[in-house]
Amino acid sequence: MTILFEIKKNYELQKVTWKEKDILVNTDCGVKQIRIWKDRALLDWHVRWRDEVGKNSLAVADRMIRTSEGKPWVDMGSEYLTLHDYVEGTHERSGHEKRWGLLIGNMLQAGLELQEEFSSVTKEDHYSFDACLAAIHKLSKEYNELVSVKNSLPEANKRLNLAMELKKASSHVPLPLFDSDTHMNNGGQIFNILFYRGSDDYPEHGYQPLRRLLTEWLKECGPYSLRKLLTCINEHFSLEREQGYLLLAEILTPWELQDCVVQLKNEELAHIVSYVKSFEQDWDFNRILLHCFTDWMDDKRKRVAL
Amino acid sequence: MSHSNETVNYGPILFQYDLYPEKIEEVGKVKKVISRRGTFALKETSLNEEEASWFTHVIHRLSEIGYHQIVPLYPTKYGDYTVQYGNRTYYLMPWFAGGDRFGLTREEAIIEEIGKIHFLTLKEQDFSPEVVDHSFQYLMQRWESRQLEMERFAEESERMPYMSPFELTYLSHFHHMMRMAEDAKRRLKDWYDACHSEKRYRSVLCHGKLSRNHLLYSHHGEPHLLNFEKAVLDTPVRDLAVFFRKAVHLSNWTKEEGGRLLSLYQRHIPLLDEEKSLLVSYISYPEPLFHSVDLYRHQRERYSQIEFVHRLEKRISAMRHIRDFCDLILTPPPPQPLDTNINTDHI
Repeated sequence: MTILFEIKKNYELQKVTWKEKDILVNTDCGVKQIRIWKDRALLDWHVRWRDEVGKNSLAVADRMIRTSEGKPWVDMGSEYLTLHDYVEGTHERSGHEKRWGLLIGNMLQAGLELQEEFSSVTKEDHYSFDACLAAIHKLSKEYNELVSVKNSLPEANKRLNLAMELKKASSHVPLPLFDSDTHMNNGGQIFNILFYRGSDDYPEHGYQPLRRLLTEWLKECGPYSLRKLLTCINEHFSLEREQGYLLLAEILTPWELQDCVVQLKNEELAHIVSYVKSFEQDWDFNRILLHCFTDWMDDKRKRVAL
Repeated sequence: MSHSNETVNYGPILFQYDLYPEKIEEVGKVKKVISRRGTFALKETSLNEEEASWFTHVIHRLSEIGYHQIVPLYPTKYGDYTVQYGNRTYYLMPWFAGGDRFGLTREEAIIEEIGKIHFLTLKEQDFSPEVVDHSFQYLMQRWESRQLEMERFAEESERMPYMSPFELTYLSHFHHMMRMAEDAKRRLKDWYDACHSEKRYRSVLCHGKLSRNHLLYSHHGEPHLLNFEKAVLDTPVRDLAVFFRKAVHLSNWTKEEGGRLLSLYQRHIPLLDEEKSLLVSYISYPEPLFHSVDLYRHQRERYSQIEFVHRLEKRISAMRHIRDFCDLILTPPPPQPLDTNINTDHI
């Protein structure tokens, strides 16, 4: 009741009823989504990057609807409430690389511009190859199914070293912040707009979320479409120089190995086979992703040389 | 609900206002958007991001300094006052159907309102000889190069074995046009000299595109200015020159009417002598005539010969009105009548 009252009062809406308690409301301006925030700094980040990305009208993030006083949130005492448009369904991917490229390019640009200001609200995963190695040695003593995982270790080590070299060479280059829970399914469609549902999570410092998104894209749309997507992102945010090398470093980092180890540690034997299978798939897809990206970068370099 | 192409095309823009149109009509340069939440005017412009930001700032600034006779902008649900879509920029305003007007004519209302804006935004600039020199030289060079172009066209026309009616009309007025241009340049020099001797220069917020189409009446009959897309900080003369150049084309124009409109303006902000020189210089330079020539040279297929001739003659006639009006602007005001009731006992 309090939430509905606050929404009605602060957004000057005539009609507000629950569509899905604490998540969605029906209003005279359509269905809106509610988000509750406890961390003001995190909220500020989410307001800013959404606003930056929403400067164009073709590919936008779910910006905070302003209150009648023009504020992006309602102060509820110990927490803040924000109201967003709610768009059901998903936006098509293959064939719409231009629009997705605009969205991702703008997200990267916003993340780079805001990275200094919001460096305190980020989260970052650290990769420990030694920890992976130790865990796999221990697990392989108990289970025989980990052959493919064990076999991948030399290449994983090589890739990681290469990634670290690349990162070291570009250590002076700032990394963009990126919404951590980035997935293709977050993109909806309304009035021919790519409407992106952002998360309420802490942003990640670097290219890991983008790597995940590119892998998803590759799995669903294939290498040809992925290359088109990279070209379209590049029109709005250059991936040809240092930022491209930093993305390459992230693609080289064998995150799939660490993910697999985390899952193996926590699960029963019954699930191990399926995890190993999933690891093998991810490993192969990441190889294709790496191949596609380096090919794309080479192609760009050749064009410059020509 | 209409499902025309327009509704589909404007969807991404109107979505930002949570407007779901039942009908969209094209009225002049705006779209009339009829929805359950009311009727609105959607304007499409070519403003870039920086220009759109300045435009929004101007509207807010006018409101802050207490000027409310402007057609307001509605913010989107995200708090933006303009919407970028592709390479176009849009903004939304209330629809002014127009009601009964108070006593003033449209021209009187425009000059009154612009006088108020100029008064509220008037700023005595720190005198900078470089800025004045630059403005003077820039305009002088532009005018001289335009004169050269026109001289070239006159020479080309004279070489023709058979002159067209337009060329004939142009040539018969050519010397007169050049005299007008020389007079305008002389007045510009007067302004330049006066600026240097008085060491002063005033700026105001200029509307930039004053026109009778940019004034609407609310349903209470109050005049509201709109379209501040070309607003700029400049001499007040900039707006006045645009206004009077258009006003001389009105059927009821007389120099006395011009004088009366200028007096209405000067109730808010009396012009300095050098600003009067600048106004005379701006409006007496025969650019509208040169523009007719440009149109003839570059878009000859657009009108017939007779239409071109008619257009040029109409503008020559307007320039005559301007010349008379300029004499009036430069005429010093009559001395104040002596008060016959002054008590002279104490002298």
